Amino acid sequence: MASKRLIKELDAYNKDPSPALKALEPKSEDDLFHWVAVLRGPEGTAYEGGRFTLTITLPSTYPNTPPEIRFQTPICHPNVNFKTGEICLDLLKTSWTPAYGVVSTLEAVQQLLSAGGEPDSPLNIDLARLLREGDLVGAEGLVRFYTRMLAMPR
Amino acid sequence: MASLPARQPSQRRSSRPEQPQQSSTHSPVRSRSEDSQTIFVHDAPEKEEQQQEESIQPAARPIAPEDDPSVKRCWICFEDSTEDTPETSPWRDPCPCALMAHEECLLDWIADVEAPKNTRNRSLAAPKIECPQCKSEIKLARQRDYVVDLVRGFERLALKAIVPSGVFMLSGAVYHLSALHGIHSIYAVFGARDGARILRPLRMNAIRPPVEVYLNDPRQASYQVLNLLLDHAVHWRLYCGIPLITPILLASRTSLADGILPVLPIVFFASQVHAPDSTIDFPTWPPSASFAFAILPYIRSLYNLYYQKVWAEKEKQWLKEIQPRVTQNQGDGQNEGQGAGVNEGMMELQIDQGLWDNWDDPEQEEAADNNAPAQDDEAAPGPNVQDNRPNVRGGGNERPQQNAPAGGQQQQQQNQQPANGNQPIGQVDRRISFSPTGIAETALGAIAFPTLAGLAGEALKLILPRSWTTPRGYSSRGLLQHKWARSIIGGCLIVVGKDALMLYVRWRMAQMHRGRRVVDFDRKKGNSKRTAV
Repeated sequence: MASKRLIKELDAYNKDPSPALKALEPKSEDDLFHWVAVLRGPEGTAYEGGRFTLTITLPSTYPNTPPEIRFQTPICHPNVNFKTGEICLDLLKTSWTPAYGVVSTLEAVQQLLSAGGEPDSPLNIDLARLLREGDLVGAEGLVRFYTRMLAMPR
Repeated sequence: MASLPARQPSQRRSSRPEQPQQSSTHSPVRSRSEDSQTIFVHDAPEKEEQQQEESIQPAARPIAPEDDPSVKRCWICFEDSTEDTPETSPWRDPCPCALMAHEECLLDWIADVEAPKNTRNRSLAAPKIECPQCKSEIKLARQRDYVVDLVRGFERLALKAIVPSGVFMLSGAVYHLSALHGIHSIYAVFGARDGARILRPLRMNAIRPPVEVYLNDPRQASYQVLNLLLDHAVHWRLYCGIPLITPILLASRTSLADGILPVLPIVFFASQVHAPDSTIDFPTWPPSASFAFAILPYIRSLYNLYYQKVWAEKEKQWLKEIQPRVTQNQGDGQNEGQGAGVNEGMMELQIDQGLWDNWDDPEQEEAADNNAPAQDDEAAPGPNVQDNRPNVRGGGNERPQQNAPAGGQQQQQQNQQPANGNQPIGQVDRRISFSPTGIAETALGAIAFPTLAGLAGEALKLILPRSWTTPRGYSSRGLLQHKWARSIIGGCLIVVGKDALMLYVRWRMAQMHRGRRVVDFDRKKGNSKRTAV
């Protein structure tokens, strides 16, 4: 069931690419359970212009269990671990249902970027602290700096 | 965890952008797979259901099956009814909204949601199966077995209870540990006879069989429970106080206790009526044990105050003197108050000493005020030693001409300082050191204190004349005839003696620091030695 559904999702994406993504494809042709996506930084935010690579690992029990999504490009976000790329998003853990797909989950990740995140359950403590103390300018500057340094093509 | 408003794939699909499909985006992989739903531009004519779309967009455009309302699409496996084969499971429409699914897919999904190892269901109740879109419950017709339900519920309950019961067990262990140490302390301070008398109810209770033993004899069981409750009601101070001894000993080493300790005697006095073995006797001498222990916290506060006012400043001065000159702004005498580095080094040392002086020194004062000349002797030297020494030392030094003035100057400063700088120093002292070794030292010192005090009391018994320490009718000077009193005074002496010793060491180190010099190499001697070798 999993591979059939993955093929369908991939086809659906190729027919109708999501504006949030620049690319989405399996890592290699014969392995359908490891994908790579390139996410666009949402416009109008400090991530604008960034191109973030994410790795997607799909469990064999997909879609009953959520895909595992990590940022490969380091990203400065309160709910993303800067080193490992782990994302703290309920959709990827508790509130997953099979009605979601890979593309809609990645769109949710993009929404997480534009929404600014939840500094009360941080994976990036430094940034979360800035946000909690209300230093929005500082936080935005930091995000912009890292986006420009690490996620923009030169 | 960040959460976002639910956004379903179906919403996105309904608002498809109207752009011509690019067949170039298809990779060979997908065109190869037979069971895929890929529809290429040139495949489009094969499909029948594309009339309306065709009219809008003349360009041949594939029509995804999900756009057609007559085609059912499984929200779990994403397959639609056009792909149905005889083997596919029947379609189910379990909820009011448009989502439909294959029965098998639904059952798989439900089995996954209900799996006991599934960490996603955290609630105590059985996980609710609901449609992800409209949130209405999906009903399952299935056999129910109450035993299965019960056991599953119990399993979930057990999973929930792990942390609370772990905490409960741990705190129980801590309680019993501190109670055991409390009993040990009581014996150490009061001696075997008095200790046994105090702890008698506790001892009876400790080996009482648990209530469930009497299950076949309800009357006996209720009697036992009642007895237990009654026992606790009558001796509540014992049951509360014994396990509290250790925490309070520990707290007394920190500034925390400054707030708590003075409250305890009030509690004590207020509940005095129930005390079976002692009465309040302010005017009588010797005081009763309960009274003596009740005023200890006040004596402690008094002693701490005295130490702060008289000695803390001098000690600080001495400590500062032995710092390397880098952190000192100027020479020996005139360096107080400047340089944060000095203060930091200082902090540790002062705290270090704070571990010890907090406790019973207070009692020493009481002792000195009240009775036995022996204690006066012991207590007085502490302070005096330091005051007297400088002159002696100055004479003995290698460079008296430098040291004497410096020492004098310093003394003056010390005398002035308490007036000015008392406040900040008090605050510095209050801070608790957080270094692990410091904490361990404090805790160990506090825990060993009752034993040490008891031993010191025994030593007093050996040292002091027999007539003071052996009961002799109703003598009015009989304080030291009690083991507990000797323990108290022994403890006080330990604290005071320790403080005095530390002060002496600090002062002496400062003195010796001033008198240091580097010895020149004696070439003649060295040469002769070398030749000899």
